[in-house]
Amino acid sequence: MNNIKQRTVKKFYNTVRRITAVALCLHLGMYICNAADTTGIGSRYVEAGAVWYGEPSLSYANPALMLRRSSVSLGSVAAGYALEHQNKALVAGKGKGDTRGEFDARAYIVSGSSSLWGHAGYSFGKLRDLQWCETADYDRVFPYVSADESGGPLKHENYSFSGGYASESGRWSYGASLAYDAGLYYRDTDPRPRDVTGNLRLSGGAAYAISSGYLAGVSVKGERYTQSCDITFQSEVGELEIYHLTGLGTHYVRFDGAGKTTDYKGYTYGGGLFLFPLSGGIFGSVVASRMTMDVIIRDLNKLPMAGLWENRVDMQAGYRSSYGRDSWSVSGYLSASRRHGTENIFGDASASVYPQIASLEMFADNRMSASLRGLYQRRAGRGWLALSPEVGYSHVRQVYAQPFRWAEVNMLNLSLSMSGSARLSDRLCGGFSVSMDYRSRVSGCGISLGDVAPSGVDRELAQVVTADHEAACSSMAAIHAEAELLVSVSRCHAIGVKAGYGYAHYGIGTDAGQLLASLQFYF
Amino acid sequence: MKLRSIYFLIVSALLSATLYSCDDTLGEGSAYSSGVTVELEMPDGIDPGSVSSAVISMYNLSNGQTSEFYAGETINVIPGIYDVTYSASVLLANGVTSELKAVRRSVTVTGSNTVIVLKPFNNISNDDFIISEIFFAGTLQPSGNQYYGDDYVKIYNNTDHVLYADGLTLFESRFTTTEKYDYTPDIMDEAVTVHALYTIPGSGKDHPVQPGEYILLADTGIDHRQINANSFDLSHADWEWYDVSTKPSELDIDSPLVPNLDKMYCYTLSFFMLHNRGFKCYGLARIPVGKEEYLRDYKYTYSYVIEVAAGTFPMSQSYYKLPNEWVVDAVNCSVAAKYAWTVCAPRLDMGWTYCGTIDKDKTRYFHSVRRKLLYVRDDGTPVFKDTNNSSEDFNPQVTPSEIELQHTATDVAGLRSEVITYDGVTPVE
Repeated sequence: MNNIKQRTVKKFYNTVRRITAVALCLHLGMYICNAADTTGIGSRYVEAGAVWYGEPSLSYANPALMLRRSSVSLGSVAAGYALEHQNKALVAGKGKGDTRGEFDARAYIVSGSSSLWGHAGYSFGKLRDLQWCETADYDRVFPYVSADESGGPLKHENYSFSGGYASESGRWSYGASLAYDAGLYYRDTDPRPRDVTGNLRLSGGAAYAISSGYLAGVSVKGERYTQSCDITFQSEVGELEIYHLTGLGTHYVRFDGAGKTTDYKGYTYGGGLFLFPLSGGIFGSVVASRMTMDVIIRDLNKLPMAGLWENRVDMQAGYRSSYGRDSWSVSGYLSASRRHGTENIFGDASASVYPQIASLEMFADNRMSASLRGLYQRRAGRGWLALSPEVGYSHVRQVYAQPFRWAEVNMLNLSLSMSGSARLSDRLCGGFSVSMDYRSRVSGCGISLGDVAPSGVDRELAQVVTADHEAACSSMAAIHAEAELLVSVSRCHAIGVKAGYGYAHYGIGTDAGQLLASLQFYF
Repeated sequence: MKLRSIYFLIVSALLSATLYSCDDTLGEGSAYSSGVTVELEMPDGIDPGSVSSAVISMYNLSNGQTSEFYAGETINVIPGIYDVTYSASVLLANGVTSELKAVRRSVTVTGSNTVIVLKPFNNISNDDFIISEIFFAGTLQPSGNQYYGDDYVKIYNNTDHVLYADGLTLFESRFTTTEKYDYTPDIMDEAVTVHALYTIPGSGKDHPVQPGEYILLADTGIDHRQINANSFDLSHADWEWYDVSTKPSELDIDSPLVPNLDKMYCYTLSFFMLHNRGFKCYGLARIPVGKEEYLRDYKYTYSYVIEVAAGTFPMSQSYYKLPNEWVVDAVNCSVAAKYAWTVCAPRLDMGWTYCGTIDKDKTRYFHSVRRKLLYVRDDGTPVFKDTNNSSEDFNPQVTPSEIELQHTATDVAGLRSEVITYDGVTPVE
């Protein structure tokens, strides 16, 4: 009875939430139309999509520079469907793809010397066939995930809300943004994980006009991440063993089978420096952050099993220029991260209290990627066309201290993308993007897991890690295409359809497909 | 000028970050290491010079790795919590070669040097009955529900002479192997704390047992197949433990076909059954005093503290102690996921055995723990391993002997057993 009541109340709140979101969007739509009543929806759509504005991309980590993101206001509400499918998992813990429905509302409003942006999204669907991972947000919490030999699909619901404001006063620009994402991941059959995630992000920044053509900026950010991973069994005759993985096929043997509730609590702090050209000129950005996370087994008296830290730095530097109809840029991008995992060691437990006796830093995941990207955009007629080649190199090295294990991935990445957008008639406009990617392994790829037992869970985990590594080192060729067509229904409003398709083939024989379709309402 | 300075700053940051991103060498030539010194306190009468083939084994509870060190080797291990075992051969004064053993569990190893004191004991083989099998997990009904009442214990005469079962007592430990508390006073070096004691009746020589013969003690000595098609017949058991329940809703079945054990003491007001998940220590004892004297003089009152999120709760309880000298055999049972300690002195049992690896493990049903076969005598009777270490002496989670002998169900679907083995592993040829 209580369950029925709870479900009814939950449905009611969800309905209210959705009605509020739609009402908010319609209200924003009226506001945007009033704020930009000198420009029709078609022109705003074409202008807002211009890729040249997106470069230098890293600069927009500073909310103060979001003021320069676009010169026009545009809002959209979308309902869509997306399918991602792999015939074999590239990362076992992340599954073989996702099927989801999405509702999405976003707006970017320019008003005088200020800009305001916001986003609200809801998606629901199913992640397919996760193996050896019952924890959500794999990339964020790895290697410390809870796992069992069964695995399976995970249904999910995700909510995201974000908003920001930037303004200009004299030589100063300033801005702030706030975002919150929440997720629920669950399975209706044993083992039954119920993962609840929350991520709150806050950032603020300022920029100063150091000359007539340049802004120098600084930003700070803070982030709070939580996840509770609760695994239950309802079969009356027994349960499966839960393992707490510790990286490269290892697991915390002492707590095998114990601890079905795990909490992840993390903080991220960071900041950045920016040099931003108002039109043409050199640009540069450095964004650095430090993440720390505690992994706590709640049902072992809140035992702090492990901890993670990750230092990360992203850098971009380049030059951009715009003359008449032609705009171009060239930039170098460098990203490096160092993630280390520390396992806490506990003494003899008495009365279910585990005294901590040592902390050993056992796992490291170090990454570096560098790329060189060019962008050429030409305005023609009532639209624009852009071409962007990119060449890059990525390096990943993972190490487990004792027993010593390592894995290394070195890849060369090539990419070519083309995009465009145009007004096709007074009422019709559209856009497209096509990208081709190719990657190939370079020397140094390898993996060593040492002596592994011939059978049992250690053997299975070793096979999973080896398969994931083979996929990461595999060559890949991919193509992705998207197209969108809009029809104006009034001077301020348009409806559109968007469709996309992607296909990737990996050298190990894995095929990955992607399909998306959505209905859009622009204002 | 300003612009150049800022750009210089950014490029400097780029370069320093690039250098920072170089791979570190975690674990490569910089492994964690703690030194360990093992000090042996040899028992009286053992000449250290007569000890040979000494091996110290260190099992790391955190990562499951075992390291072995021979006499004279420097011991360096990763900091952690360890089970440390010592084994060696010793030449006794009478010319007989025996085995020295020692164990210390849950030893903390940190810092540059940890001193571990071990007290080896002479592992003299038992000249009495041994437990050859414990079937505590039970079976499942075809509906998938648990079935209760078909648990049993098999006792075996592993010697080469006749033994008398009269007065032999089956016991279950009070403490569980999955929850450790600091019980005060700690009497584990002197006695086992028990809460169930059932004795085979007899005046001393009423029940002779030949070498190679079994005694079957059953929970309920009936043909369980009449109730559960997946179970088996225990109406041929030698004895059953029966309790007069004080709870009308939970009555025990008193089989007319099987005589009852003498109940010396049991904690429950309803009826006793073996721990369904195997979290206890089971054993055999010969109690040299009468029931009244035992219940009067061997009470053990202890205190301990429960610490939970709601607070700290001092507790006190009274049960019975069974002096280690009276214990004939002891077998600790547990599951790996919840194992905390063994609940008897190492000289009685240094290890533990299991059915299932986690709490409520569904794979445990239709399985028992059976003592390993050493060899088969000329007359076809087996001799089982008995080194007072259940981890080494037992085959865990194997098909119960009664299921094999009666060719009954081995799983919930009713798949029949076909092979008969000595110990769940070695087939009878």
